[in-house]
Amino acid sequence: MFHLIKYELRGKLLTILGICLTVIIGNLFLMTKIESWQIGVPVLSGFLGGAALVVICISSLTLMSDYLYEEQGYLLFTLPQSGVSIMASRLIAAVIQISFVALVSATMFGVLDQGRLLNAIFNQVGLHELVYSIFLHLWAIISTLTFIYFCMVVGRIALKGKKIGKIGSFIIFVLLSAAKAGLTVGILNSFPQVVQIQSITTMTMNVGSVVFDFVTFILLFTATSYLLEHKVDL
Amino acid sequence: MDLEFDDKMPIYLQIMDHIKMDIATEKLKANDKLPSVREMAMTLKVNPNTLQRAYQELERLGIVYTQRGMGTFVGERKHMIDDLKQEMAKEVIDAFILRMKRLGFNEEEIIESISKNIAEVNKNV
Amino acid sequence: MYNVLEAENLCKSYLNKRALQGANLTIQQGKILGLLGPNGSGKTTFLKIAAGILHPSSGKLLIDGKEPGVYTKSIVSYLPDTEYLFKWMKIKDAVQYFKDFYTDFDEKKALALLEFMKLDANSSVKSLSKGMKEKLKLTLVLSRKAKLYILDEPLGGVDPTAREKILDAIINNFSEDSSMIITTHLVNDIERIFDDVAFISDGEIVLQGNAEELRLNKNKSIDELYREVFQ
Repeated sequence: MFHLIKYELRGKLLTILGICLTVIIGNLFLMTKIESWQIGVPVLSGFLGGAALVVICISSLTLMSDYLYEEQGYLLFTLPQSGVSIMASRLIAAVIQISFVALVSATMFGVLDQGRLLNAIFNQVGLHELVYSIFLHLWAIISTLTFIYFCMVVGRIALKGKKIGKIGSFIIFVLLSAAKAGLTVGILNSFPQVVQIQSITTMTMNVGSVVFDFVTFILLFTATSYLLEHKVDL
Repeated sequence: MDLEFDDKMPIYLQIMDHIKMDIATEKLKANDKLPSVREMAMTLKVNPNTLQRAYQELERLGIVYTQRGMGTFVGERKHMIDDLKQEMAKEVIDAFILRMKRLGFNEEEIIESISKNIAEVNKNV
Repeated sequence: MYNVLEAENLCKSYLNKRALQGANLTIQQGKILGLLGPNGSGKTTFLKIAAGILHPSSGKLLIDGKEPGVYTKSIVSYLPDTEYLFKWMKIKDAVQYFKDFYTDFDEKKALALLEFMKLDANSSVKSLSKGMKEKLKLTLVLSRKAKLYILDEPLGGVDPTAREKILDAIINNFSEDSSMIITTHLVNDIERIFDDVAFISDGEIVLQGNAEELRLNKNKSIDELYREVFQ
């Protein structure tokens, strides 16, 4: 599995470097404008970071779709690798590349901002809250990607043709998202128990929806792995 | 080794014939080592199993012998060259007679045409 | 004798067509089988099922007694009829890739084969001509010590000199304890390396046998037989 991750990151190397360079150069440019643009500079830097994240997230989707629809699939799916390791390697590679871009963006923002915002955050938020919040973001990336990969694979298996498959996957995604949201609301109503986490913003955690999210993740992960290994026809 | 195959006939028979011919014409002499199966397969661009079969058949006929780990060698049986010559000559003549008969020649005419042509061939060679 | 591959009543259908309809085929250890048929006859479908990237609708196919899966992929070396290497790769990256993923990959053999094929390890995959790409793919596939090699049209779209090199490489790197299945519609160029041949038409095996016996019994070359079967 280590090798699978290695080759995914190697394949995305140019994209990752390209995004990071854009972020760095963009921020350097913004730094020259601090005098004249004032508050606009950190705002623009934030936008730049956000845009970089969106691009790298979209690129993470191709970690799956390229193999489902392009000839590279012949390389990946003839390897003696289980569906689980293929699925897990995609998720880990995605998390690594997204985290890397996030880190670069945050660092550049910190430099540009001369650490003011970061200092403010560190002063008011405890370490455990920071860790919790990072964990929450990672979890959001992993569960969202698993959800999307599942829709892609189902679309690929159920529908013929590249275009129809991709559109189909998107429709499946919309429908399943609606269903999931509906279920989450239902669960929130039936199990209103929450756990409070001390913080300036008072984060809360609904036990029911956490369990639901976790179970959904396990189910989708297992299903996608199974489908990748046993059902995808190239 | 240069060998044009006729793909209509089993390849191993053609390889056998070729080796027999080389022995009959003494291009290969008693106890000469034949190329290994793989070498020969490469030069002839033929499946190694086909060559294996040709060598095995030749061995069964006593024309070659194998020494474990050493390779395949031309046999040293007495009169083998003569026998091979006779055998191959017979094949050629049989086929010739058969075709001549199909063309409508009778025995005397066949012999006559041979005597006539042999003189011509000799002149040209 | 031990059968490396056994297919029984193998079917594959799509919504609108049936690519395989009850194909039966066995391959013995140490043999090279030619799977012959025109385009669209089901050759590639059959090979893709054996390679584990296509799943049969019914019937079964066993390799070394197992259904296609992670295990069979580790003993099957498959040459697909596609350009499947990553665009960013140099030839040496492709070699490293195979070395990383296949425990039966023999790097020394790969380097020797690259030299034989006159391929430079530092050229990038993107820059290669069609014939060179085919040679590279074959180098990678033959450098594994697999139980079953599956070559889909190894001579397709390749000029005659490259064809000869490819044939040489196949003959020279084939060992008695492995088996090979090769599809082609260029029967004439390659028929002398087959032990057995199987003709496939409309998803069915219509004739199968030992190549030499067929020559002997029908007094025809495999190429002529092929033309006769498929007109």
